[in-house]
Amino acid sequence: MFQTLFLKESKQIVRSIVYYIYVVVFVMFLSSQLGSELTERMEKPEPGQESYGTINSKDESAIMEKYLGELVLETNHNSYATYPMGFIKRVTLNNTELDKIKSIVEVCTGKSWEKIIEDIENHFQKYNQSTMEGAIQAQVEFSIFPKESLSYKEFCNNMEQVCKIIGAGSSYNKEKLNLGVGVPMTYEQAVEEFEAVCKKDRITGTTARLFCDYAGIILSILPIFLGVTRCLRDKRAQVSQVVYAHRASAFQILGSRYLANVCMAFLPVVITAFVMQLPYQYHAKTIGVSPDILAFLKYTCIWLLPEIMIVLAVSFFITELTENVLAIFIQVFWAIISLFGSMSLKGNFGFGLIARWNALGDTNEFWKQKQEFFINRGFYFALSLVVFLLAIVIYEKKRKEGETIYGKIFKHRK
Amino acid sequence: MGRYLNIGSSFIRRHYIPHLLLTFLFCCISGFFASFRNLDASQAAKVMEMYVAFTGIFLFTPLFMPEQNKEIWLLEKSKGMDLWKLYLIRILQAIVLLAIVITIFIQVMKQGNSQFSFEKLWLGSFSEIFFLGSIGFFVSGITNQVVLGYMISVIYFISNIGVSKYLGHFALFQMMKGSYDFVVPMSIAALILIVGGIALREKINQ
Repeated sequence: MFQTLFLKESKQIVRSIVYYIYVVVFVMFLSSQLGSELTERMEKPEPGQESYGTINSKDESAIMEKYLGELVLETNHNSYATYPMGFIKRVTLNNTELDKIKSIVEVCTGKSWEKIIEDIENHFQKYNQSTMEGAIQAQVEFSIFPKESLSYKEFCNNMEQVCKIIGAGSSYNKEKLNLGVGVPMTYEQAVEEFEAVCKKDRITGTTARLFCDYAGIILSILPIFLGVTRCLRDKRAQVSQVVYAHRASAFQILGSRYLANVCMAFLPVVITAFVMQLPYQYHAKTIGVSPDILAFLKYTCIWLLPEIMIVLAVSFFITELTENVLAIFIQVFWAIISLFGSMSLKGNFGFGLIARWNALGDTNEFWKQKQEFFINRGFYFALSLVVFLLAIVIYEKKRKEGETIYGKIFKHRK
Repeated sequence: MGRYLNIGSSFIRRHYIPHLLLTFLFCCISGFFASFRNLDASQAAKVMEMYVAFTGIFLFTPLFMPEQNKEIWLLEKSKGMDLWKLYLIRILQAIVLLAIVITIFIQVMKQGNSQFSFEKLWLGSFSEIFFLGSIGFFVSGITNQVVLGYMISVIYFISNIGVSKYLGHFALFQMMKGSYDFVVPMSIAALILIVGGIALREKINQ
C-alpha cells in the first residue's frame, strides 16, 4: 500500500508545473554561483605570491584594527548594520549621536576625525573602485590602527558605548568581536591549508561544501512551494473527503506524500551536485590527488537533506493545520531571517536553518567546527520527524472530526 | 454602486481578511527590521524596496482566491455581471490599500527627520510594488494556482538581488541607486500584466 501510494505521489509531483519551476530555478541559481574558475583557486601556493587569501584570527590587535576600520567606514557613511531580530537593519544616527561615535573613534585611535577621513581617502585611492573586485578588496583590506596605549579591555568598553548609541543588535557587541576577523594568510599557513584540502577533503570535499552553501540558501525557500501545493491539492480537487475515507492509515497517506516530496526535491540536488563535481574530480587527478568521488553524496545527504526535510515538514504541518497558503509567508520569513541573521558567512552554525560555509578551503577550520555542524543538522533532522508526526496528528484529527478553518477544527460529528 | 460595494465588502470578509491581517502584521513589525529615522533618499528607498515591496505580493497575488474553488467560479460565470468587473473591484481595493500602506511608511520616515522627496519616492515605490504584485496576480490568474503566483513573485524578488543588471527598466531596487527612470515602463508593464491576467485567465481556463 505504502509503495503504491509513494509511486502515485511521485508521478503526481513529476506532472506538476511547480516541480519544473523548482528544478529550473535550482539549477540556474547553482550554475550562476559556481563557475569553473574555482579550479584556479585550488593550485599549490608558491613562495612570493602577492596574496594567499585570508584566515580567521582571534588576535586582539587584529580584532581592534579590523573593527575600528569597520566603525570608521560605517560612521563615514552614517549607516550601521544591526541585527535586532536576527535580520539586518541599517541604523542612521542624528548629528549628536554621530559626534559621540566620532569622539569614541578619536579616543581609540589617538587621531582627529579629519585625519582619519584623510586616511580613508588615501587608502581607497590605491584601488580601482570602478570594478566590483577592486571595491570589495578596498573594503576588506581597510583597517585602522588603535593608539599604542589602548588595551583590549579599554577597546571593548568603548565598543560597548558604541553599541549603546547604535542600539540593539549592534555589530560591535562582545559576541561578534569574539568570533575573530579575517587576516591575510602567510605562505606557511597557505601550504598547510592546501595540504588539508588535498588530504582531508581530497579536493571534491571542499567544492561540495561550497555547493551545499549556495544550495542551502535556495533550498530554504523552494521546497515550501512543493509542500504547500501538495497539501492543498486535495482541497482544490475537492477530493479531501474521498481520501479521508480511504482505508489507508493517515501515516501511510501523509507518509507517502512526504517521502515522495522529500525524494523528488532531493533528486535534482544530488544530480546537480554530481554533475558539478565532475570537473573538480578531473582537476584533482591532474594535480595528483585521489578525489573523493562520493563527496557530493555525503555532503548533500548530511547538509541539504535535513534542510529539505524540515522545510517540507513545516509546510505540511502549517498547511494541514490552516488549509491555506500561510506556510509560504511564515517560511519565507524564516528563511530570510536565517540567511541575513547569520553572523558569519563561514561556520558558527548554531541552530540556524541555513548552514553557511562560503569558502573554498578553510578545511582545518571546518574540521574544528564539524561537531557543531553535525549537531545543527541532527537537530533539524529530528525536528523534521517531530513536526511531520504532528502533521499526521492534525490530519488524523481532521479525518475523524471534520475540516479546519484557520486552524480551528470544526466537528461534523452528530 | 451599492452592488459593487457589496461585492467588494463580501470579498474582503470571506476571502481577503487573512491577507489583510498579514499585511497589517507585516507593517506592525517593520520597526524590528527597518530604521525610519534620519534616512537619506537612498536609505529611504531601501526601506521601500527591500521591505515594503512584499506588501505588493501580499495584496495582489490572492485576488483570485475565491475562484480556487471551481464551483464558485462556475457560479460567478453564470451570473449577469461580467467577471472582469468583479476582478476590477478587487484590484481597485488592493490598489487603494497599497497606496495607504505606502503613504503611511513614507510619512513615518518623513516624521523621523529623513531627507527625501515625498512625491518621487511615493511614485517610485508605488510603481515598483504594484509591478511586483502584478507578477503574482498575472501568474495566479492564468494558472489559477495562487501558490504559483507567490512562487514566481518571490523568485522574481530574490533573483533581482543577483541579476538585476539584466532586467533593464524592469529591475527592482533601482531607487536605491538613485534611478527613477523605471517608473513609466514599470507602471505600463504592471497594467499590461493586470489586464493580460484577466483577459488570458478566462480564455485559458474556459
